[in-house]
Amino acid sequence: MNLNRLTTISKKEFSDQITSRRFLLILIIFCLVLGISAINGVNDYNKALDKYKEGATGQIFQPSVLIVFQKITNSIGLYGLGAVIGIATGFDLISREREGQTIKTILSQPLFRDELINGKAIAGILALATITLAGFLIVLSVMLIIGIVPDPEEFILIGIIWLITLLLMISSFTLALMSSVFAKTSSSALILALIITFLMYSIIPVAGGEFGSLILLGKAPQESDYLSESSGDNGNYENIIREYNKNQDEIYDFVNLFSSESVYNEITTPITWPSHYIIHTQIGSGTFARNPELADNIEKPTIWSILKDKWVKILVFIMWPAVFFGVAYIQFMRADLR
Amino acid sequence: MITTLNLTKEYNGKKAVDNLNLEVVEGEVFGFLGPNGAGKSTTILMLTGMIEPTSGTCMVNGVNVALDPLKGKEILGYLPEDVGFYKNLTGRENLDYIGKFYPMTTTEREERIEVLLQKVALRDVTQKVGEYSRGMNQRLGLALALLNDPDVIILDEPTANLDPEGVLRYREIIKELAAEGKTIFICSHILSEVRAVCNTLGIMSQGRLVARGSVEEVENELIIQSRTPQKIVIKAINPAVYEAIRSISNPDLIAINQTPAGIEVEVRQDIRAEIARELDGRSRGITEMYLERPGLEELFLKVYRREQG
Repeated sequence: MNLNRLTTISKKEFSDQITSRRFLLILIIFCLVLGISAINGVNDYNKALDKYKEGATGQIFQPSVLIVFQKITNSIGLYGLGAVIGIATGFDLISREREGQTIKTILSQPLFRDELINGKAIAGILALATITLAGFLIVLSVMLIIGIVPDPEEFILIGIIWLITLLLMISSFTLALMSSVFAKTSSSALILALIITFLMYSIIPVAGGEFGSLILLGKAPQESDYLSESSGDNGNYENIIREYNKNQDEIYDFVNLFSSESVYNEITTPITWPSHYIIHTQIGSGTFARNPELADNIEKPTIWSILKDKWVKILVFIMWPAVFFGVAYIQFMRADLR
Repeated sequence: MITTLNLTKEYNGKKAVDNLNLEVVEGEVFGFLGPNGAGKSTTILMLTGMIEPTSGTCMVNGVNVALDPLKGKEILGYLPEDVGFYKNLTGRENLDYIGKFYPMTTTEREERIEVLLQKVALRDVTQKVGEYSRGMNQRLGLALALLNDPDVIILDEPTANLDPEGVLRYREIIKELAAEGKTIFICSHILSEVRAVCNTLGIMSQGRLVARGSVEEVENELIIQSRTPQKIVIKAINPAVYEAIRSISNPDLIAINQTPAGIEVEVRQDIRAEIARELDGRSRGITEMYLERPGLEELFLKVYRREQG
């Protein structure tokens, strides 16, 4: 691979991206959604601060300004904005070249195929970085205008959320790029990308969890099967169902790895809303409701503790774009140009 | 300049190109003909280093294109069939982007683009390629093929989409390039066009080269292969000429007919000299005698159908 040629392709592709109407539209939508989410997030922050001062349960730690990003990460992950932007940036990168007959024109020039697909990928990632950076700068502007100034540590955490958000979009972008290599037309590529996204975000986590539980664990144990007729005691049912639920959670946890959106939320929640994370994942919401004092001795998770806790998910988060791009790369290198 | 040796390309066990041995020498304007699926495009893709041969070699100006495709692409000029350009860029911007892949300085590239746009009459066109007509697109394609000032130029259907004026300009450019000693490889379906600019021809059918030589040699070869009779037309004001011709005995003579156009003599090969000799002294009143050969298209179709059949 030649760096000059790669730079030439990346520059041209990046220029194509940022001068397109599609990019402008995505940028406007993204900044609008983030701006509105930021305003709502600031309200949430103020409310959480008030509740914390009142000593309300549920606010274990003093809310940080990062709570502003809770609504933003929900919009990007849970509501699929990140996936939509990633797909929109990459679904026609190769298929458009095929449709416009430019694929032969460009590949008949002295350059290697991998330089073309790598150049396109770099440009797409840079375009996504530009979009996300612009959106996050809008959020920071809103916060500063309202008078909320993050401290240096919070700035670093905001940077980490930005990086994770970019990774989420890159995951969808590489999936779309892969679809673009396989499909003959851009519309087919878009449909293929949406189908795979739907499968990975919704079908596999839900159906995979149910199906996996049924296959690996069998039907959930029924309390009536453990009732002792003589004593009326349900014996060790509680232990068995607890064990069953734990195993079922592990299966769901595994199939959720297929959903970048789910992994994204799992990584960002401890940063944006640590109290919620501790209550729901470490203590358990039911246990906390019964014994709120359990949270007294728990320290606020640091970035290192989050990384330690979530390293598998972070690896998976990096793995998906690598897998999608790898498949796209191999297929493109073998593609028939006739 | 272009040499292929036992060049073969298989797709799923089917040979698209089958042991192609072809040599195109420096300065030759070579027409590469064949029906759809004959293996022309596959051959071109191998010559341009865009696909690897299954076996055999193809050399362009001493470069083994399969082993060093980048070098091959650097010395070749290629106009793909239905050439595509980036629609959001102008013609100049398209050439500038593509020119960056060749070893040229910015000044050299800009000067070269200026000359080429002038050559294909697109110098003053400032609109984006998306607004180009098909003919303009094709002319830009020709400029693209000449961008690196190559010694070997491969043109795939170069006159497709060109208007008559464009075709004339294209012929002039080919003549200029031929005069400069460039080797030109033209792949086309428009046989008359090939005939107009090429001095040699090659015909592909079912992955094989079925005829190769000068235009006349290939025509003769096709006449033999197709077993198509030729026609000698004799126009005479003296009715006795018809009787005199009827008396000629020659194994290549098939039939003699009197038609309003004149006397039509169907022959296996050109026997005008023999006829003139036989009629010596009895040829008074003959105003015209010429050979009518079947067109290249007709011959090509007949041979192709024979190959298919």
